[in-house]
Amino acid sequence: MSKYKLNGINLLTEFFLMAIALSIVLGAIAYEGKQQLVAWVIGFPTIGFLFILIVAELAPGLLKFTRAFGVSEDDAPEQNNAAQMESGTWRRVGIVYGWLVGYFISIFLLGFYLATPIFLIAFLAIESKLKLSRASSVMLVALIPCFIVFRLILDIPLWPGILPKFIPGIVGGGSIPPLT
Amino acid sequence: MLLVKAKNFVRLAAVVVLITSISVFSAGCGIFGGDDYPSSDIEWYVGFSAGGGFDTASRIIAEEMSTDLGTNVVVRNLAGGGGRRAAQEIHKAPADGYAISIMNMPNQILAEKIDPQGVNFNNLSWIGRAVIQTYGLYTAADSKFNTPAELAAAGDDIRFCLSGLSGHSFLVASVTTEVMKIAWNPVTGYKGAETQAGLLRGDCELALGPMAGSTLSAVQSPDFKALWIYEDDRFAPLPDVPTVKELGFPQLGGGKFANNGLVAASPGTPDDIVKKLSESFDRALQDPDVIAGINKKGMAVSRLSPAETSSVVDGMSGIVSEYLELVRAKSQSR
Amino acid sequence: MIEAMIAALANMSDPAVIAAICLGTLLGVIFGVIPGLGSVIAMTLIMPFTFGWDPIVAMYVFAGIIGTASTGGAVPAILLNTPGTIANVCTTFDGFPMTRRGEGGRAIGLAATASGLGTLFSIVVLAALLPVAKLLILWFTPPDFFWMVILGLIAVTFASRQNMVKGLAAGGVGILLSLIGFSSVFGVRRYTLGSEYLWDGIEIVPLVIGFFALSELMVYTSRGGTIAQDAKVNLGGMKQILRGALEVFQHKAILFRGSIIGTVIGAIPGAGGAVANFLSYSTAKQASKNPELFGTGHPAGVVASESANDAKDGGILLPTLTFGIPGNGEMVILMAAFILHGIQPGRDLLVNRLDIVWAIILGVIGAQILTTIVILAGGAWLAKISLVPVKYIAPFVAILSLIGVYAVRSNIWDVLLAIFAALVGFFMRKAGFPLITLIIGFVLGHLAEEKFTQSLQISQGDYSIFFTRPVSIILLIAIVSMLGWSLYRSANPARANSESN
Repeated sequence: MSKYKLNGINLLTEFFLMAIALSIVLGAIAYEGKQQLVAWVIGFPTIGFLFILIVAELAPGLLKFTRAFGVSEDDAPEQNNAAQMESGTWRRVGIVYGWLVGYFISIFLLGFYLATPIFLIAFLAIESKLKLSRASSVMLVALIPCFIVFRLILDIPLWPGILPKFIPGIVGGGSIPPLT
Repeated sequence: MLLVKAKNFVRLAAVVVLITSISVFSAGCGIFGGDDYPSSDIEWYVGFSAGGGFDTASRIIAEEMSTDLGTNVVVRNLAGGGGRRAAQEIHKAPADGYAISIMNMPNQILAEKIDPQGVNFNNLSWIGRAVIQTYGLYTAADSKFNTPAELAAAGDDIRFCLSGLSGHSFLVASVTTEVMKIAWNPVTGYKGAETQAGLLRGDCELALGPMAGSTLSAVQSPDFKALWIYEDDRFAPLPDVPTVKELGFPQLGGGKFANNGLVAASPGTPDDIVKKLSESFDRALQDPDVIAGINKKGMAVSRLSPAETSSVVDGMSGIVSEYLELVRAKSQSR
Repeated sequence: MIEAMIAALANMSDPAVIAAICLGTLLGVIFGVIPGLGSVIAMTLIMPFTFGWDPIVAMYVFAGIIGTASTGGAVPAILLNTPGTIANVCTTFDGFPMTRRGEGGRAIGLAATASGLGTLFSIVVLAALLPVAKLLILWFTPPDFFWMVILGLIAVTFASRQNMVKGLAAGGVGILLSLIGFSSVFGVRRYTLGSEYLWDGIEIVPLVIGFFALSELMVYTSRGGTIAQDAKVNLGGMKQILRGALEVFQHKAILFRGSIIGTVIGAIPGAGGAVANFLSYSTAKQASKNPELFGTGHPAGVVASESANDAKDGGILLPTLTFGIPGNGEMVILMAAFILHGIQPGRDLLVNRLDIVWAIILGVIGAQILTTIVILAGGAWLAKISLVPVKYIAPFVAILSLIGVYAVRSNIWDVLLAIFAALVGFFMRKAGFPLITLIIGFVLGHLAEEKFTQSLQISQGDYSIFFTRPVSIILLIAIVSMLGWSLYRSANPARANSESN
């Protein structure tokens, strides 16, 4: 049997899920009677399962007890094909996620109609390494039909961004929905 | 030559700057705005998902108003919070008449009083009432209950099929049982036709709801019977159903518990703009096609002027405030 | 009833009806293929355009969308590990591994055929049960619904048998997350921290898009290359598509069981295609002689998933057509469409408007057949997506996913939620937590609470209501049996497998 190594990703994820479960279970104290029921009936066992998993990560010597529950050092995801889940390096993952976050920020500020062509050209030019002219052509070919279908024919309203209203419904004038 | 070109350029630039400044300043001051209103699309917020009663009514009226005003009146669904999101949007929208909203009253007043989010319905610039739905109480056709006295004398708790422990139907049930001295318990989670299924299965004895659409069809069928209507005068589609006034409970009548679709602009909208909007709105509501379209949806067109609408809102706020503690006490006791 | 059916069949030769079916099919497939959009948005958008049309023609359009969206959703599920709709999640488990091995066409063939047959089965059941449907619906009470929902939740243990603790933990977290928001049952807001955004709870579309579409995008974009592991693999063209299509008949038991599960689960308001999809997949895996093959690109997994998620179409129409009780968002919009066209859902529909009922039934069948043919015909071309370098696909997936998320309720914070869910989903997958169990817990959690509370309100606090009805007792026995078998199998895998053989 190979020596078991502490898996930081597992631990981080388990702590995060534990935080969610604990906050709801503790939050249930503020409610009465049956309003708390499901939170506690489900929450306590969930916390228990996550506790077992965290213990299994931190104290490999206890693994022989947890193996009966299906936890082992050879833990595999549900889609039990490791190669399928194989992502790139953490740096690459961070870059891809950065693109998603950047796209969201640009949508928030500029609106879908401005942010999307900018994102598409930038991604195709920088990540996909297309020439700028080709990236622009792809953008036009892809997005003009989308604009015609979504905006002109189906009139699906898309977020216009928080800039001052420049072209109503297209650029600017977005009213931020309440968050708190 | 170069000097002439430079001078011309400076002159041109100065003219452009001057015109731009005047335009921006005028737009800001509304100098052009009032006379040219509307000069761009008007957004009509609906606080519910597309396809519902108020949404369809809004779309029908908006289409007519677009023609009347000569600009697009565009319906935007801002579903969320049971209509609160749209109410909040209209509350904070600029007072320029380019945003209006339809609201489900007194439902939204009740929601705001129970869980305040800073929306003051009395401050909105009311345009008018689009639709109204009469409220009624009904039961399965084979039910042994027919009168308030029988319900009061039942002994065991009468079960009401309701959507939840808040909202319009819970308010009406709480007030009705308090006034008629009926011992009761709510059974929640019933919406629309599920309520009728619940009654037939025996999950509950009574149900409340707007006498419109599928509920009205059900009540008119042999499977169900309406026991009373929350009005002073008989309801034409149900001519044999007594009113609460006739049954000796006038305090429940007068249409104070009816479902109203009221339309408003944001607080502080100039009077001349409100007048333009309300006149266009009123003309739309008199159009036979609009009336037919709204009737098809199971609702009745019921016009009110801005002042009358504002008065209705004040009345509803008063009623909700009057019974708020009762509703809170009833929901907390479950 | 028969006369109405014959009249409706004759009507199908009308060019307007044919055009309506084609339009519905096109919309259903397109909106099903694009993650996050789905049939509800398609129906909502087309509804105003149908105002003024012949109601029967309009109903063919809606039926077409209903019948085809989840079939269309199988395509990105198979090719990009990105379910087009929530009901296609389990299709990714085996469909995508097949694509990775260069068998995307075969998977598409399997999915299209299984979908078509599942729909046909459920529609036949619907037509047969229509005369007695009202009795069935009245017979099924809230305590019975509650046990049905518990059955769905118990199935979480099957899906995570190799990783039971993580599966149950994820399922539990899903149930807890479903409690966030305003509860109409109790009339209070819970766990929202005062947030107005969370008043309606966590919206499921951003969650699913984030977990599945965007986290998968992070995986393959960071990895690079193509989706097919070997960029030079021979996809096999039409031959592979037809191989997949015919292979469905080698899994007749799974097909049949999936169709039944889909039809039954579809008839439960609130349960939906995701639960049908999941339950069918889990039971197929549970009953299989080789459960370890599920999740590795096993054709049976695709058949189980796709037969059920399309069979739900017939099931879900049952309470809607007979009683006017909408079981999901699609049915809510369909009922709105009825009213728009002057048709009263419920009793009036079955008594006076059988032409409308048959228009919907035949519309679903016609659209599904058309979709199956179109996807089979285009599958070879679609499968080539697996050979396109991911760096070209990724931005389009991101754009369409986020547009889909925003279009649900026009709330920009939903887009942020999807981005956040992508990160959480990525880490959960890396850590071996099955996301599907979280989603199932999320879908069923608040439904279980609602039915539990409702049952106690009906009985005025008497818990015996859960144990006295015949349907409840049958379901309870089924639940105990499934749990017992699952535990026995976990404790004695070798013995359990030999007994299965």
